[in-house]
Amino acid sequence: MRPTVAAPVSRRAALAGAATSAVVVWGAGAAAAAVPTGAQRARYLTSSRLAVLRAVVDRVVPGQPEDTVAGAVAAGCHEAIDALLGAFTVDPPRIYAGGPFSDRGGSRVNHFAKFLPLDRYEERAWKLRILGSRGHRDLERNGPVTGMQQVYRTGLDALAASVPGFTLLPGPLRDLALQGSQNAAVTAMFDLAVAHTLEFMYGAPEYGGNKDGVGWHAVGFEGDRQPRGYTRAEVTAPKTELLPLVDAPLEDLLDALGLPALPPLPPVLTGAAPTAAVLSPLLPLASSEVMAGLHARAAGSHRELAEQVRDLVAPVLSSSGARGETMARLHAEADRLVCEARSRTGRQSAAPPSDPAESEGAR
Amino acid sequence: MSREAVVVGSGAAGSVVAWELARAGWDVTILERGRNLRPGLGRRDSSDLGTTYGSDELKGRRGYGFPDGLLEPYTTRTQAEARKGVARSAQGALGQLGAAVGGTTLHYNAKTPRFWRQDFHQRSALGPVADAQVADWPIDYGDLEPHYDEVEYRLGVQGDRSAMPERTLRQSPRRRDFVMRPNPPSYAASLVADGARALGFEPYPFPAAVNSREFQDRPACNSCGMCSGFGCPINARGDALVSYLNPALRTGRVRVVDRAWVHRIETTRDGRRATAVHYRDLQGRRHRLAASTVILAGSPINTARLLLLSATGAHPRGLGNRSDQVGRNMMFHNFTLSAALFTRDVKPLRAQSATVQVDDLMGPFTGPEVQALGVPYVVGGVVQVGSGAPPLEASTTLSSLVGHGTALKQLMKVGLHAGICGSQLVHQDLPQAHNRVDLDPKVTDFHGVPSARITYSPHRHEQAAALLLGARMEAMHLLAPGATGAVVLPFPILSDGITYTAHLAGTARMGRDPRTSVCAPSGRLHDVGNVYVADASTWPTYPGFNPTLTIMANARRIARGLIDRPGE
Repeated sequence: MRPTVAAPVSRRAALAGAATSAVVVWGAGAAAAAVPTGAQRARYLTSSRLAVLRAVVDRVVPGQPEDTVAGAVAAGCHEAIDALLGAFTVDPPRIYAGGPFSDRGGSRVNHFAKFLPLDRYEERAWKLRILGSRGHRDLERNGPVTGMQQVYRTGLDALAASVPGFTLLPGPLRDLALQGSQNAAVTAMFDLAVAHTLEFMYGAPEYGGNKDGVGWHAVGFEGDRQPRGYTRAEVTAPKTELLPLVDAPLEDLLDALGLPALPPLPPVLTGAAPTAAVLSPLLPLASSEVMAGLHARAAGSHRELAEQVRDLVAPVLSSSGARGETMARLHAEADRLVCEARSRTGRQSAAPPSDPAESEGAR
Repeated sequence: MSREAVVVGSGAAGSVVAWELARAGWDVTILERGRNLRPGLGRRDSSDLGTTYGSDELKGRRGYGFPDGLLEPYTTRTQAEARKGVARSAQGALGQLGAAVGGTTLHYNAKTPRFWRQDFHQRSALGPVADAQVADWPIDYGDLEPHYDEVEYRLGVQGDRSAMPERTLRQSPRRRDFVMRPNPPSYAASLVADGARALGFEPYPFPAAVNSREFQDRPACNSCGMCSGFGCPINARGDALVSYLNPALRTGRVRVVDRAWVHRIETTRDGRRATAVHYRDLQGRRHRLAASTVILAGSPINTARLLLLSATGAHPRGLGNRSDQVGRNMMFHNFTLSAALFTRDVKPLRAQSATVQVDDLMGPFTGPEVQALGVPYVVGGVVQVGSGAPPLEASTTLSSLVGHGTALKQLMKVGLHAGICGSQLVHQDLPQAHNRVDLDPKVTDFHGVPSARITYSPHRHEQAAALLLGARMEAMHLLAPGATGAVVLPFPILSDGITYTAHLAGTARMGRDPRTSVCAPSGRLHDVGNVYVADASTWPTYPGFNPTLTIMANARRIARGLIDRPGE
């Protein structure tokens, strides 16, 4: 316990200050600053560990030769992870990008490129997360915290030791090595690496991954749009391309994706696009504010997040068990409501929307 | 009489209170555990404030503007775990509860529906529910209406009264039209709105504190779609900070001390009056701030924690806790999520998020189909229609089921996430004695102060509501033109624990009887003459609406009462 410092603040004095001017007491006065990137970026891992990490992130989002579209290596995810581990060797550390705009949505200045100085709270939190508690008692009130540096260091070493020549193995063999590993250090490292790779692949390029926007281009995301935003026409009558996934037969897709056998589907999904149907339980979660609760509890662990989500959607995928039976009743009632509504409106099946941008133009 | 106050928390409730008190000539100090994220605060007009936010998903993922899960962990468990003696089953951050100057409104969704008349009399209109502590509010809609009106005009709320269903207008009558017209609805949301109409529902533009035109020199929203969980990069959203706190600071009568962690309210020996508030700063230094009026506005979990931490000889179970209700009746809104699947990229991210509201699942429902579910009635809530996911969110969501690697990459490439449109039903959550906040016996924050522990499970009413209304949600999405399928995730059926953490209420309910409630209708603790609760802790029930507008309106009511009738 820290010794108590009695520092009574005189209310009169404090309020006297406030009365003359709106003096606000806070620590965040300093301006955002550029973070060294490229060859000057922050580093932590040795070059041999970085090479192993490169071969790991390649399995999270594979690129060539398996896929023509750039993957995690081309996006620079391994280097971004290394820079995160070494974040506190530069000032400010590359934790929070500045705002409000990058230069992708109409701003001439890229504010994202200058990172925000951390206040002492944020610095304490991120140092603890990255460096660990390292035996400091005031950091271990709720037990020791293993830092990301140690997780990567020991995990990458354990991987290199247990799978000689890992970096030279073809992709599928590296997959086997990572997924089949019984080594706790390896699995802990990979758990973190999956979460980090996705973050750097699909987060803003200023964080060091998603180089030249390759992650976004691959998924058709337009990137941050401010300050330009969208026009009324782009909002209400956008050009809506057909998605390619609906054409492939289900078995081919499952095969290509290496997905497990099709779980039993709720009856309402029988008309749905097949791949979408397999994954559909997840789709309602596609609302960032809802997932935030799960992310917070997973605390950066991809495995933890996956377990939570799987637990949550299990009854949706299965009609057995009490929850599964409840879900079956729910679907049956939804079907009844749909049939009733369709007979009332005379609409037998929903008409697919034509591209609203085209129909706008036709008018 | 006192003209000074210390307010704990600078969010929706605390900012409104500070503004009202300052206008009445009070001097106010606000203590806030978060930091300031809006450069120029207190020094420039709200239209000229800078922002450190951007359309940056990773910043949100890294908890910008949130308490850190390592430094300030919450702990949680379900009711079943508590009965088995499990001390906690999870520890860390609690999702969407922010900590910053301006509170969670910095990155809120700015949906501003009003509560309905019927919400204030649920107990007397519908009777008791077993294992729940449903109570009437000691105030009614008419007590809040003038405050709703004032707050909406300060925030700048968009909406279309002429498009609102007749029942909605009857249940939440408005004296004036909205401040401005609604923004354009997203294309995806209008498809689901068509599905809702096919079921006989009446979708309409969701009232929101988002500019559809320039308002108070702040620009119109340009529909970028990065709303919920993001600070608005162009300052197009009305919130606690731009609409209340910053103007309050500029009166010269208000100051904010940020990074101040309040851990105790000091009282006189007999416990009848508070004399000071004790807090720690970042370095762990202790401060004592003398106070003649204390107003708690730290949101329900933190308000309950502070009352429990402030136990003394005169208040052995926590400050103002003679009723043993402090910390109890912790309510979250459970959500039932649904999504329609399309074969086209329907651009779900274009438009301010969830532009359409549906009230047809509000209830109460009391027919034989409800009786068959084993509950006396079902109350639902609003449906917010039309949301999508940006790529980091989409990829992590999908990866949690398909894993990573080629499968995930192919799925992201084909744009599955672009062919969906989602909606959320905001379920009313009934108050339960066993859903409670207490002090964790072991886990502490980085100052060594006991963490809040939350024990929570949905009531079987919520499960019944999710079954009954989840089917309607799914049907609504199946009927969207062009939908090839739909799916529903009724959280109360799928989980025994907390699933959604942005909406909180309960823990210091107001009422007229000090034996069964914590606060008087004025917000004052029954047993302490000068301590008020101004946040959603005071709510006896938790109607299924986005809560911020009502938090602000009720905080204004409490502040006006304190000014006009101190000590009531």
